[in-house]
Amino acid sequence: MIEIKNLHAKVEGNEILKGIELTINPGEIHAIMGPNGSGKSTLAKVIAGHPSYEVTAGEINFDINGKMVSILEQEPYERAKEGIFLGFQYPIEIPGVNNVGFLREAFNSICTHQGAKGMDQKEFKEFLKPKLELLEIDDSFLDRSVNEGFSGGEKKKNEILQMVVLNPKLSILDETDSGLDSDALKIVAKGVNSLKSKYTSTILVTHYQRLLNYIQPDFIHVLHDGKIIKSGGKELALELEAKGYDWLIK
Amino acid sequence: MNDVIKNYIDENTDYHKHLEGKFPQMEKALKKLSEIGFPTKKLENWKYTNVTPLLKDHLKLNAPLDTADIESFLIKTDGPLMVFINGHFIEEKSVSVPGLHFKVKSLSNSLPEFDESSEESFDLLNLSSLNALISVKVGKDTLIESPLQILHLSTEKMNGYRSHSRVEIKAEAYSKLDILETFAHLGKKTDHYLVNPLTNIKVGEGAKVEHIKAGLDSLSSLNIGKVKAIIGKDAFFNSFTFTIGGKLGRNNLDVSLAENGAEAHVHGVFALGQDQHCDIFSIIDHKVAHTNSEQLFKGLLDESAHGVFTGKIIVNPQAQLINSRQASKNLLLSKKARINTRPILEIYADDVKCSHGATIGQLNENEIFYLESRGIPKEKAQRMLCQGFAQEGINTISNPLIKEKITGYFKIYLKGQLNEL
Repeated sequence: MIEIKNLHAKVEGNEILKGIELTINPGEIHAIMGPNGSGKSTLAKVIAGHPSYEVTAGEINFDINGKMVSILEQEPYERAKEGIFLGFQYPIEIPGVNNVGFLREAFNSICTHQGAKGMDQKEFKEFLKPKLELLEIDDSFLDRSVNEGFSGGEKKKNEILQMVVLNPKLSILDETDSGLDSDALKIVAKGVNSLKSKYTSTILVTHYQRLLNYIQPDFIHVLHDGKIIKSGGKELALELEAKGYDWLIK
Repeated sequence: MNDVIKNYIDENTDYHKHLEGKFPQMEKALKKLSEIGFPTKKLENWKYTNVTPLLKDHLKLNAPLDTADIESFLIKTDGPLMVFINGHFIEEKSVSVPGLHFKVKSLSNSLPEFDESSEESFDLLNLSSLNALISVKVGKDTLIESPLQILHLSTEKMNGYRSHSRVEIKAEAYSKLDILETFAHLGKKTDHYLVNPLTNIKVGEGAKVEHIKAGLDSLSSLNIGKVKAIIGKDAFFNSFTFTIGGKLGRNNLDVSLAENGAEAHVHGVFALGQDQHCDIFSIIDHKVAHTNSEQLFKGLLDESAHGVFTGKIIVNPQAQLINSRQASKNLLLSKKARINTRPILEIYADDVKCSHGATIGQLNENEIFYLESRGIPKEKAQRMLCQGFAQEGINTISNPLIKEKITGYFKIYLKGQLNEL
């Protein structure tokens, strides 16, 4: 699905990623954990193509029509059209842009790229219905401006709604669990699990083991100072929960 | 008297000679105009706007009549409609409805008294150049459901001319009226002309009036006009000035909260590109106690466009217990675009609530990235953000038909298709 080789990246002159190696196959869920400032969010943004981050070395190759293709030169929207989705740690508020209009615009843009027909307003509302039910989101949510005045939990649910609607090949969730209560966490997990298939992959960037009670990762990686310093199975999360990161860093 | 104004004075003097009857008000206005001339940047109120270069090529009175397809500038309703083409009233295209009286009055017996204190050149030019007055009246307790549309359309034949209109609107007690006054052009981008409209609105006790002014003039034209409103007891006035057209626009908004309980919202959006210039000069005068005002002006400026917003709020000494809020928010979309925004608060009473704020910013990189990360191409993302920015302003229009029309016009701006309708 995605291959990351010796990835170095910097922002505002500071090198944050210092040689990431990571391969994710279709159907896998990977969790990336690590202390604050280790580069987890940077990795997520670099994969999605945030313009403030500069890749100084290395490769990111992504499966496009069965071939591994470098996406480093692609614009963020091109990557999104190929099936990369980033769930934001801090979803952006966009006053005046209507949530459902935005969702449909994104959906149709991706559909068109993939050779499918877009939907008109009415079809799209029908299409959304089961997804709203799954995530326990009220209809009125759609007519509000994107994330404006949403609570922290609502914003995160909105990210998951977008993910479920856009049906990406690779979902990267950047600390989607932070600030969520247990009920909201379960709903978010439901959304992620609903997309799980042997064709799709997920990267969970998280601080805590909590989310991993609801979403079973296949692999866990510990990021420290811009590098993956340990990888393991899901039992690693419990070990980290018990012992913290210090034992790995030393 | 400089050369530029001399041509206008001479032409109007000649025009007065050929009128049937004598109109001292018009003559006095012209005399005053010849004394003070056109405004220059030395005047505080015209600090950022220089009109003279665009008036140098003398723009003549009485443009030729023309026919035009007006449909694209209309909301399709069976509501009242007044159509002007190149400054001429087109009776056969106009529609009246029960409850709303409008007529085109000849100059005799209908000209307003000349206000000796008037110092505004374009008010004087307007009065001294009139050929008719339009009067609109909504009777007591009458609710007009469909909006009144007043369309001032210009065509290619307007090139080289000027037009001066005066619309007097009176909403009597407890009546309700929504008005869409559109200034549009069907012709070439290069058509150079002056539109100089004056709209006077009186909102009677408990009445509700909404007035939307849409500016879609040619990219080489001037539109220098005024909306003057007097708001009565417990009455409500909602004003929205929308500008995407014109090479040079100047909109004077002069709103007087004259009696207790009067409330006015004086909002607008200007969205400009190329070398367009739009100057909003607003005065909201709280004459008495218990009056409220709100103001939100949003500017989007691309390429080398220049926006100017002056928002003056006056609170008279006897006007205690008033609420006033003002905001000017602006988005600069290019390095060469400029905005001058200045709130001016003159508060002479001590028990009042007045707030004001001005912001100038650029499109936010994180917002663009957010939209892009959902598969929306960058340019489209930028357009969506501009639309969202303007929408907050446009949403202050309460009539849904007018709101939709203006939203549509804004999309024309985003696509760069003004003058291509």
